[in-house]
Amino acid sequence: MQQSFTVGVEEEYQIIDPGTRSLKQRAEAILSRAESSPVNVEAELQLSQVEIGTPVCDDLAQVRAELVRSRRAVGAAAAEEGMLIGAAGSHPLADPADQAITPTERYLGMAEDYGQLAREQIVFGYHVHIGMDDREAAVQTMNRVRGWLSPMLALGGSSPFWMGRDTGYSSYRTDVWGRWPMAGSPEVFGSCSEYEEVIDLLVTTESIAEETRIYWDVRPSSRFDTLEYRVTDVCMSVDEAVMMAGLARALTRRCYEQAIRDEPVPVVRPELLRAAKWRAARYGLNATLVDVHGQRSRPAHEVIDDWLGFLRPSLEDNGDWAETSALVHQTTERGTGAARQRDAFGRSRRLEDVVDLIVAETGAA
Amino acid sequence: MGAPEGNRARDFSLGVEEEYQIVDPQTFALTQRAEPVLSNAEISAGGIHPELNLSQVEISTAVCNTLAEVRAELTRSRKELSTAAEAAGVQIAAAGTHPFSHWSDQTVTPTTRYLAMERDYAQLVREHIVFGFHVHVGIGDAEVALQTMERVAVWLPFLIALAANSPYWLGRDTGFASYRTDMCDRWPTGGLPESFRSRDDYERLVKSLIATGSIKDEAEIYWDVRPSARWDTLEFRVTDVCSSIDEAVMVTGLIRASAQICHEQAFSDAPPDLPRPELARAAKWRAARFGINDTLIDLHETAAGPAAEVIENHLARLRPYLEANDDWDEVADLVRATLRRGTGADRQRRTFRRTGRLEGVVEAIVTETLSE
Repeated sequence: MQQSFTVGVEEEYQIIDPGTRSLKQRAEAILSRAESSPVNVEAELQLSQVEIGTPVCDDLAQVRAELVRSRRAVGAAAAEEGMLIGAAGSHPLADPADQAITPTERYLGMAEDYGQLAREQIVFGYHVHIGMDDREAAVQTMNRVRGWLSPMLALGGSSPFWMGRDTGYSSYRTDVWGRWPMAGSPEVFGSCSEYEEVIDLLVTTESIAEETRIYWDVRPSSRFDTLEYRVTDVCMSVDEAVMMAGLARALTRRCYEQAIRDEPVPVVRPELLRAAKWRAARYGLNATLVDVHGQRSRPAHEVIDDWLGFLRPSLEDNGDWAETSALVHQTTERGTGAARQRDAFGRSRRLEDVVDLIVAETGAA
Repeated sequence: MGAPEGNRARDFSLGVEEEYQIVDPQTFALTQRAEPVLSNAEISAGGIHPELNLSQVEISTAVCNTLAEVRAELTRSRKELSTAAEAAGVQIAAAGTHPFSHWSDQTVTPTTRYLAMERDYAQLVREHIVFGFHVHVGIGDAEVALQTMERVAVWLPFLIALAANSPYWLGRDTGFASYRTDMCDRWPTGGLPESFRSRDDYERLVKSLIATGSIKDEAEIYWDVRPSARWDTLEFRVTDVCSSIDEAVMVTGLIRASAQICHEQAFSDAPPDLPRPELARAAKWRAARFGINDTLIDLHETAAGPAAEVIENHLARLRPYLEANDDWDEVADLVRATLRRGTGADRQRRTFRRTGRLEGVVEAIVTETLSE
């Protein structure tokens, strides 16, 4: 079956008080102001966040246009409430103790079930859905993409600060998000029916209340005919978000093609996979990364270049090579969102200025 | 963090390590006084060691063959350490987390090893203010130890639930019975151990983790159960440190019997019937979240059931081994007492309801730590 490899993106944004630059629990008011706009904006776990979802896009140009439109519309709704919006994996100053859970049945249920774990989730993610009509193919593709997620994470880190401090991490959100009992790398599944049996098992043993509570880095979506990636922080700039979408789309296509040719699933020790992800979250592009398939440590830029080489045929088939590879090079030159936040902090030693940078990049298009 | 004293331990001998909090007797907050406590300590056997933070110390018992010896060792260690603490103007407390002291007020112990950990793991280390209980079970054959390790995962939720003793964090009730479990899983090499075909397979993994810059040495593997770096023990590090010695003895007895049943299965050469890793993690998480106050997932049955029932079923499976060790009466009584009185986490919450002060919770933990 020919797959469409369409793209749909979800972004989670911070609601920021322009005076103090701290997070503000104003989602409800902003959501009601955004109701009349043609953009799809929804509540999230915390009252200091909102999530947008783009329509199904056929190409990256459309993804870009939709993200620009969404950020503008949410920014405008926030402005009417005297607020700003920011796109970054964590808020530099926020303390989990000062936040509030969105009082809907779903989110209050999560807070009740997960306790402190839910209360600490003051993090903002980026989800890419790649259209795959065939769920069996989606599972077989997932088996093959697991080993390639750490370069994606290294390029996308935008959460270096937490509770007013430099965490040392490029993506501290990865640590916070990884605390969900159903987060992390998915296992390898022999078939779609095995995947579904495991989901059923988790529901019948009360491990999860419903399938939507599976938060693996990549999984077949429970709502759409897509393979969904949720491994990266929300990107500060639209350019980076477009880059991530292009990379996820090419990775899906490349691994799908391996799957239909029945190429073997790479055997990777789960410990190494986890270590690779951890190093990417810790260091971003600033140190060596784990080359999972080569089982060695290599400079980040080499790992990224190899990955791009692996993806190139699919990027070309998708018509995304020129733009995506240029954006990857732009990121390796300018630095990740995390690196840019640290530069801003280094200049003034004020985390408020980091928030200003996040807000400015979120709105620049 | 080393193996227990002595060379090659006999199969199923025991060595226990406990991590304690150093608490200011006026404010009941954590205080960075490990160094004077360590220099005052006169420990007659076993050992006393610094730990990651200056607000903690660790003791290790000598190698024990019976639970009575473990009890005597823990009683002696806690007493001797407490004397040293008193001379330094502080107290010791045994619980998985401190109820209110903030991680940002703690100091990493300034040794090469711990400073390197702080540099490498950064925020993860800064937030890692937790206190564990480690049991080394002697297993002489390194191959068999690994085959035993992969089979013990099904016993861990049961152990976590009974030992749960870390409900508070940064001054708030986390909702968890063992919040420490959540924190330990954050290490990139934390969590449940995977399976290994052989010792060579394990050594290849350690080499590749080192070669990829993932860890510096084998000691940075923090799985819930791991082959000790000295190879003659399987080390369980999954449970919170218990406030009472009774509970510590109970957990030790249960761990030994669990290791024995898995060891026997490993020798039978029957292919292990391992749970799906997603389910094993969920079961562990549920035990950490609810302790004995809700349902637990019984990984032997692949089903959830009321905690008391799941715990009784586990106890019944261990009974032949506990009986063979002469531990049955004591351990079964202690498990049932825990089911009646609640876990350490339940008692901390009761104390808080009674006193309305987290300082009162610390005070009660200090008292339990020193009660025989």
